[in-house]
Amino acid sequence: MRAIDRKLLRDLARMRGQVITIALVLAAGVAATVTLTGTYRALGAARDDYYAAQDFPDLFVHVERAPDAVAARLATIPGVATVTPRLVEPLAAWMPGQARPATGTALSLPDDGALRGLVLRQGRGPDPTRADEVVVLDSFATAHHLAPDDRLEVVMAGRRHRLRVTGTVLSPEYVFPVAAGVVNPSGVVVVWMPRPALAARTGADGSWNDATFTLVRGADQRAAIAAIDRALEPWGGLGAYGRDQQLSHRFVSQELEQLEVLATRVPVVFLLVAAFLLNVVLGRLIQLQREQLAVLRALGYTKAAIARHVGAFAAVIVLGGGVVGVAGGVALGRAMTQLYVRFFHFPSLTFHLEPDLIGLALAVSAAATLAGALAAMRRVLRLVPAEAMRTPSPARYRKGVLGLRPVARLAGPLGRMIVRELERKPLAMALSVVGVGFALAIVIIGRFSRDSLDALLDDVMARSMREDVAVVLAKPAPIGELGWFAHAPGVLAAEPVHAVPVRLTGPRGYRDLIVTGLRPGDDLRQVLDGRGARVPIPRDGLLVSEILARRLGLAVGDRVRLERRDGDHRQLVLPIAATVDDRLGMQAYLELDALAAALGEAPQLSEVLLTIDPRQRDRLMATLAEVPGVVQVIEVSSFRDAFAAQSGDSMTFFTWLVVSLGVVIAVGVVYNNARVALSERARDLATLRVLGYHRREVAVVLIGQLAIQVAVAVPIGLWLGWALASALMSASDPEQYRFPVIISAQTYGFAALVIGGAALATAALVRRRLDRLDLNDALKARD
Amino acid sequence: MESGTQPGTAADTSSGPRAEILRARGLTKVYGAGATEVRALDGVDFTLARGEILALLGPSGSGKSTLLNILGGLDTPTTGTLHHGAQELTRASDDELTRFRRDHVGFVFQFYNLVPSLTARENVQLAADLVRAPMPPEEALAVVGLGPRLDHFPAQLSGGEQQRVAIARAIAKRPAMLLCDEPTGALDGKTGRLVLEALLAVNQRFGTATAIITHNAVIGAMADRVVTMRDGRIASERINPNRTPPAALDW
Repeated sequence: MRAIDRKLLRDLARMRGQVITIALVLAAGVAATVTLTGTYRALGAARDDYYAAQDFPDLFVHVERAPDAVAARLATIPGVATVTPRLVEPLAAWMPGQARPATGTALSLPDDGALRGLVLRQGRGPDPTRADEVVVLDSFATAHHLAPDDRLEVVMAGRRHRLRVTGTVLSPEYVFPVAAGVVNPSGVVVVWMPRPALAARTGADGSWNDATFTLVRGADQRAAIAAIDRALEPWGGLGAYGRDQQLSHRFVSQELEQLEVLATRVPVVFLLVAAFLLNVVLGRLIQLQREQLAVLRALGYTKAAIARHVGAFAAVIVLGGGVVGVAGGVALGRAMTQLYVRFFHFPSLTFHLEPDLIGLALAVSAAATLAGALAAMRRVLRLVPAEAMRTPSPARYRKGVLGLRPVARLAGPLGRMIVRELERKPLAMALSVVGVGFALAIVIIGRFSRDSLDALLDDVMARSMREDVAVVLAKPAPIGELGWFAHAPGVLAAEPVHAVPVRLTGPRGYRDLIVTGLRPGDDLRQVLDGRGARVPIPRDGLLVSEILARRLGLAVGDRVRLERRDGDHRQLVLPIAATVDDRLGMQAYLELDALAAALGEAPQLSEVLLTIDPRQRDRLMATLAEVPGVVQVIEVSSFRDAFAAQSGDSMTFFTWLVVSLGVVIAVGVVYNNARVALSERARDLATLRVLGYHRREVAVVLIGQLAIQVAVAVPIGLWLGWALASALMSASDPEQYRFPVIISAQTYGFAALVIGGAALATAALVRRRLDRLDLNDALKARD
Repeated sequence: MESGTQPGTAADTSSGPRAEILRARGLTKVYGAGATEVRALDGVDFTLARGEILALLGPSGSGKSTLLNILGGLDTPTTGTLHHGAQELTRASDDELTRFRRDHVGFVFQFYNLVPSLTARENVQLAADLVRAPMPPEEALAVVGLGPRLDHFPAQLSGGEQQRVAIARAIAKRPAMLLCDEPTGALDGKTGRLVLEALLAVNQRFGTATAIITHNAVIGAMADRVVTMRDGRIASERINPNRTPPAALDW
């Protein structure tokens, strides 16, 4: 082995603490890339493969009732590849040990009972000659330990039915089992049975009430929707919609979008920090080795040879960090994918480490290192060999560069040493501060999504949805029905809501949304603006989300066209009376009576909001379950809990992941700073000891410097965290979500504590090093 | 280009003019400009002859180190020429200067400048790795009397021992010249004499031209020629017909 290579190995071994911490920072960036990108890809591939294999429909439509012959006509619409007419019937199932019924749907299978578009998990498909055989959604069966041959009792079309389970299935329409308001798999029941059997139970022979479509490649979806809606108008078509409005697809896609944002932005932050850190640390290491490198030049080593020598040092860090990062990323990616397996029901969802992902990870880490090492390299190449011949002259200190002169005067000699050191290298100081600040910012990033979720739950759910229970009716009922609900057992107050699905068209396009009719004096459903203040519902027109008005090119005073989308296709024109900068979705509100007048109807209600006496809750639930017109009973608290639990799981993982990576970076920055400072000042400190200063006094010089850096870095880091969070936030779709960046005081405190902890641990380490400082060596050695 | 080494050729210490290795004419070196201008060298003519020991004396700031750096290809003059045989070093590129140092020059510094992470043997090997037919590190260390301490790290060696490792490192390439900048500056008298003996041994055994910068006039007594500098100029030059062995020097 050549002596210069041996020097490389010894340098690596001697500086192993620094080498390892920098490599770990890099590994954190690589692991974040591999984990997030890999999980994003795994989820995307699982969805796309599943959809392709099972011919997941492109369009969906629900109708009042249509004869079979209409389906054949739909198939001739340009762009439509296949039409699958079917029967869909709402159902409820009381399961043992459940306080409220599971709600969901019965769907028809083709007459022959073939499980088209479904994946059989257990048992077999239903026998078309047996009227009571069904297959059940696997997530529901698993939650209730249902197995083939078990019985399932359901309420459907107002009657009780005893069904026999023959198997369990997965469906691409229920990757995420969701029924309006219910996101808990045990609460969402879906069964499939051959069409004749379902038709016989619902009295729908020879007709259908729901259809799915696949389109030919490149077909114009909007044109197809328009043609389908025209063809189904006589049959009470509720308006065809694409995958974007299919509930399960929407949940999966939103999760994918979020993951994509994380996968493309978070690793960039990590790698930038890693590059930055490498830059600082390599730069200062080279500074420390100037004389040695100059001796090599004097001996006759070429610039290229020395650049290779320094480059190899960086390369070891890249490779080490890359390998650890890829391995860690695979482990974390598997864990994260496993998390999705729990609530997304795909036939297969596995994390694969694809070769290009390794390539990507190594490329980014190499790029980070290169960016980091480049400045250091340039410094090496500028190194003049005569450097080695110069007698060492004291480093140049100046007074009062940072305006710290008064501090220096007060501080005594040790304090002055600290202040002058900071003043001598304002750039190095600034870089260290920014490095620590970034670490702190990353910790904040890890926690802020939880803060945002809390804000969402508090703001939107607790303050604007004030009811305990929302009862959704199958069809709008006369407003007089409210009296019945108000007098149901345990009900303290009841308020009506009339929700009408419409297509709202403006100069710049249209959106399908719900117009919500509310009574002016009611309190349970409140519209809040961005500052949380209540906005009154206007009498003389619509109150719409500001984003909706902006996106459609509408202003207050404009008259807009609304087309009903609930089977009735009548059009109405209403003025926009006010806009509200609300935070969630695209909303439109109107006074309930004004809505009825615009529709040309007597006032109606489609939902009833209740506040209840919790002691009578079970009785109320049992009563509501028996009411034929009730399709959904949504308890806000359980909805909240389910929502929090579900988002909570993936969020806890993400928080944990990012916070640990942030800690790695924090330790990496602080430790490296301290170590470099220690080697730079070993002689000074040894001199102090020789003069008679105590160990703890000497430690103050170094640790004081560290403490000042961290203290300055904390506010900067808090600001950086806010800025990074804003950057992440700006990627979410404002039509769905318009929250300002919300970071709680606890998160700021937690981040500052993490950094403080890393600094304390480093200080302890430095103190130990200082205690072991050999005075003679330190004074003699010039490296 | 001449080959750099002639091992085993004993230096002729008694007679006449010898072949030149380096020839400098009109060297100036100016640092800074205007009011802060410093003329470190101010028109220096200088030669270094094959096999001689030359002492370069002068107070601090007289330009000794600047001259030595330029002679060794570590620095370039502002004006003037420097020839190594037929090669004009003042026109050489950085790569050519590196090659010149690699093939022909050995440096010894006041503060030894050993690589602390390498043992004595490995520090010598660091130089040996650069040339095709180096002196084995063990042999180079034996010449300076450090045979038994091959595998010690610099931190485990005394100052004198470290400086002798530096000399071994300088001669391992079998250079035609050794340029030493205050080689005893950081050492006590007794240790300094040991280092000078090592330099003399190298000179006698290999005929290596040796330039020693020192502000210690006593050391001039062991040289063939003593050049004294003052204010960037050569103030005097004398031939020393009777060299004193280092062991007899006293300071």
